Amino acid sequence: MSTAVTWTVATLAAYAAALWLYRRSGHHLLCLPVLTGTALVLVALALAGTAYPVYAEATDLLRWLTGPAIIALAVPLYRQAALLRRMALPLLGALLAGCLASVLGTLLLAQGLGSPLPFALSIAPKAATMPIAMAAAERAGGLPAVAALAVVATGVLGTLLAGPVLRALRLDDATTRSFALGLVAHAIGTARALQTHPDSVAFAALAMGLNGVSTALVIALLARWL
Amino acid sequence: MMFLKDRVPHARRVAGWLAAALLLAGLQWLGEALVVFLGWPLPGSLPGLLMLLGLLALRGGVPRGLDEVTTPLLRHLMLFLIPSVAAVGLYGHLLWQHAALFALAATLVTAVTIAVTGWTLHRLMRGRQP
Repeated sequence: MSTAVTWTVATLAAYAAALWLYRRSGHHLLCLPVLTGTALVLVALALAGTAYPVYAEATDLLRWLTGPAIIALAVPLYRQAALLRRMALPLLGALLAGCLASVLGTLLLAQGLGSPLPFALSIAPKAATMPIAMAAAERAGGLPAVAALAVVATGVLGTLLAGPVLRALRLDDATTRSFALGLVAHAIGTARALQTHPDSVAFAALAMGLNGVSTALVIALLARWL
Repeated sequence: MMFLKDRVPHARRVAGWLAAALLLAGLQWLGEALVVFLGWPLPGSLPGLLMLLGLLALRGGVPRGLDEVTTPLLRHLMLFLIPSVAAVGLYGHLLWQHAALFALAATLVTAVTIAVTGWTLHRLMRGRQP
């Protein structure tokens, strides 16, 4: 019981410090609280000589809260539903194409490189928002922690690549850019869309929510068949 | 801070929070039971998300208590993920071993995904008002 309290409080403290650093850095991408917070926790675990399984069990409550937080994503998604009703066909078409390109592209690449399936399944949900990607990877037999890193790498690179790629293909209107940012780079891309195209940020938020749901469904279907 | 001028009695607001928290926990439990029952390799929170979406659509709006409970939950989502991400310490060697896949998936597949998404949306929206 006391280890549970100690490590839950330690995690809260690490998160508070990470959040402070993130704000101080002007919301720098490499200072995302989940990265610096985890780094602080790893340092604390090493200093205390505590093994990860002990820490994982001690922080059961925090990990359980991920579930209700994923369910809570229904609220922002519901608020963008009017947009979806107005342009259902183009948005759902682009969602399906982008989702399949990301998941199947990763799995094909893994097969080409001869990587083992559990590792491939951990990286495949990388375009989904982190809690959904981690939960989807875990249920498919992958490693949630690896999924989390792939999600961050994809979010940062997708945010950087979206502009140049779409410009090169002459597809660079505000709606397309925002939707692509939300789909491929989840919350990080949506935050960027809010900075650069505030009028069309709803497309990014919608794409992020929809791709989280559809990536989890596609991974679940594939995991049953592979 | 933003609810100072609020006329709703305090007890009713707390009841709204409790109801929202119970709803989220109930949906989590129900979703978990559903995926176990059906044997789908799906996170239980996902059917929970879809059920909440359905409930909101039926009701035609977000109840205030639910809004006030989900906002901080979503804002501090990364806190709940830290304990799971910390497992990465166990997989350092594995990541190093498959660094090529990780790097190519993050760059190449991401660029292809952006191109495919952008191209499809652009084609399907031709002639429509954004």
